[in-house]
Amino acid sequence: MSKLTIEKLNVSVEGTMILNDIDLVVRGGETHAIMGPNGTGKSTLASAVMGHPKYTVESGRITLDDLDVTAMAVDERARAGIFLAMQNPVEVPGVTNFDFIKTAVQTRMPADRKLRVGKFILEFEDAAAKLKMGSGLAHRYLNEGFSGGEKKRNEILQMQLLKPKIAFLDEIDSGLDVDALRIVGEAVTAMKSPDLGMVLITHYERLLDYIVPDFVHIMIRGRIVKTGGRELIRKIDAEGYDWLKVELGIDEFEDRRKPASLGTCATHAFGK
Amino acid sequence: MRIPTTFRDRSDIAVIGPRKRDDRLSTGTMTASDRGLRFIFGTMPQSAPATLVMTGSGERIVLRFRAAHPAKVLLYLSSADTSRWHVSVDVEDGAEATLSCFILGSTRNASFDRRYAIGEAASLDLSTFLLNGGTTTVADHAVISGALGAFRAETLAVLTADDRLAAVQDVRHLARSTTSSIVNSLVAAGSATIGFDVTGAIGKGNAGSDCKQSNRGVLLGEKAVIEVSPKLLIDEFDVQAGHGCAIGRVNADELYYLTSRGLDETTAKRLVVSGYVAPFVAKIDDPSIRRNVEKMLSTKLGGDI
Repeated sequence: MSKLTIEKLNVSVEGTMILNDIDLVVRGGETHAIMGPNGTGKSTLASAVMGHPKYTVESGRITLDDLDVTAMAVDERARAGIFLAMQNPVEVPGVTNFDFIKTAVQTRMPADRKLRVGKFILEFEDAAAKLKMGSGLAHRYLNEGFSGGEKKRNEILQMQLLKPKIAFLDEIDSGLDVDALRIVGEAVTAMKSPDLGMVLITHYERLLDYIVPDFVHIMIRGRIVKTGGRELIRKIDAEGYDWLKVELGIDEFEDRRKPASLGTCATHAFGK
Repeated sequence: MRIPTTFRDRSDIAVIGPRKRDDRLSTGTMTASDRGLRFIFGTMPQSAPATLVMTGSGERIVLRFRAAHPAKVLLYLSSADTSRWHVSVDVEDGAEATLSCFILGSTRNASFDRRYAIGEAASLDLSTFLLNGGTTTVADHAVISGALGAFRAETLAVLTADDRLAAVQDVRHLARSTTSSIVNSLVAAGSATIGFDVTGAIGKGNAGSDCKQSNRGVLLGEKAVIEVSPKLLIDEFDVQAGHGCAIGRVNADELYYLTSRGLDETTAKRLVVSGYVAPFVAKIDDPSIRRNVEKMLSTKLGGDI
């Protein structure tokens, strides 16, 4: 069973602090949900754990089991077992979905072993069929011309085939209609096992109807301000985040200073 | 340079070298004179493209396409040291020609002067794979002189190390309702330099014509340079014309996405570049030639990303 430990993590972008003293432990088999208003740093946390070069870790550390990944390159973190299902998956023209995933799987194999392509094709087709992704997916260029829902399902497909130890799912529910949300929710739930710890980042409780979290964290202004169980989801659904004002003595959730740059979710929120 | 088996072991073929002329063409004819080699295609039906393999320091070649049958020709040019090639392509009225030109080898200085004449309701689909090394100059001049004539040219140029390529492409629309399309896909690694000067011109009175250019370039080396100068010279109102040019390094977001799945940066860049050239290579009908070109590209780019 793997364990991701984030200790006193402080992260900045272009000199502006985005994450402040984040502490979080995610173990294999656990599902965590991180919720919070727009622009509070949820996507930044996921990107910082993945090692996005835009984000600077000012202090603190991230460890996966006994491995300190804080200074590791993005690809090293991925091969170590960290996965990020992205909010806005990038289109890569000319690279077929299958070639990409096959190459990614091969990076995790010892140099003296070769991927059994025939077996892998069956595994790919099976996973794609379960996600109702339609035929021909293997030969389509990576995310190019995919609908929003197809892109999100493709992220889950990659997660299934790459078998990470810890996965961040950044707003995997955005762009999904009700049926697609159910399919994705069921696929992710089916992946729950002691070998996989998951962190769901979402604004809305509807995703959490399908993927039931063990822990719910609320993030505001780059801090995890409250951690609890599913009761928090119901409270947020009913009352929003305003009740935390009183409880935590916060006057305004939204920082009046316009941030220099935030995660994609936040930039949308600020209308950039 | 050794000719790959893929190109050599074909039945409908002419192999021209400095000391050897082997004419085994079955769907075309070859005649030699003081003015060079003259080939005629399109007089017989083809089940597969005819192949011309030429090595040495250059030739003067005339390819004439007649209208009786659509014709496809693979032209394989390979030279060492210094070479000069003159290629004239005449597509007669109503003829339908496809010419795939593979330029390979390692040259100190190679020049290609290619002229295309497109007749009435004739079409030429030209694809050029510039995979050679060294210093290369290419001058392409196309004249569409008959109404409804079409010239469609796609070029893939992959340069590495300190290779140099200077190309001029010029298309003249001299009749009504003519079409031209130029698509250039350029890859410069190491300290390679690529320069393309592309001009499309529609003269007055040639209404209903369509002239398009698209240029894409990817820079893989810190010292690599790609310069493209697209130009449209339009002297008629009732036409369509457009040009586009996009040159840059490998997209940082693409790299991040690919590395986030475990690909190291070099592998990720190779994948992006393979994606860049793949749509072009995919258009090669013959699977064995396609594989061969893929292998050549992989070898050429192997140490330079």
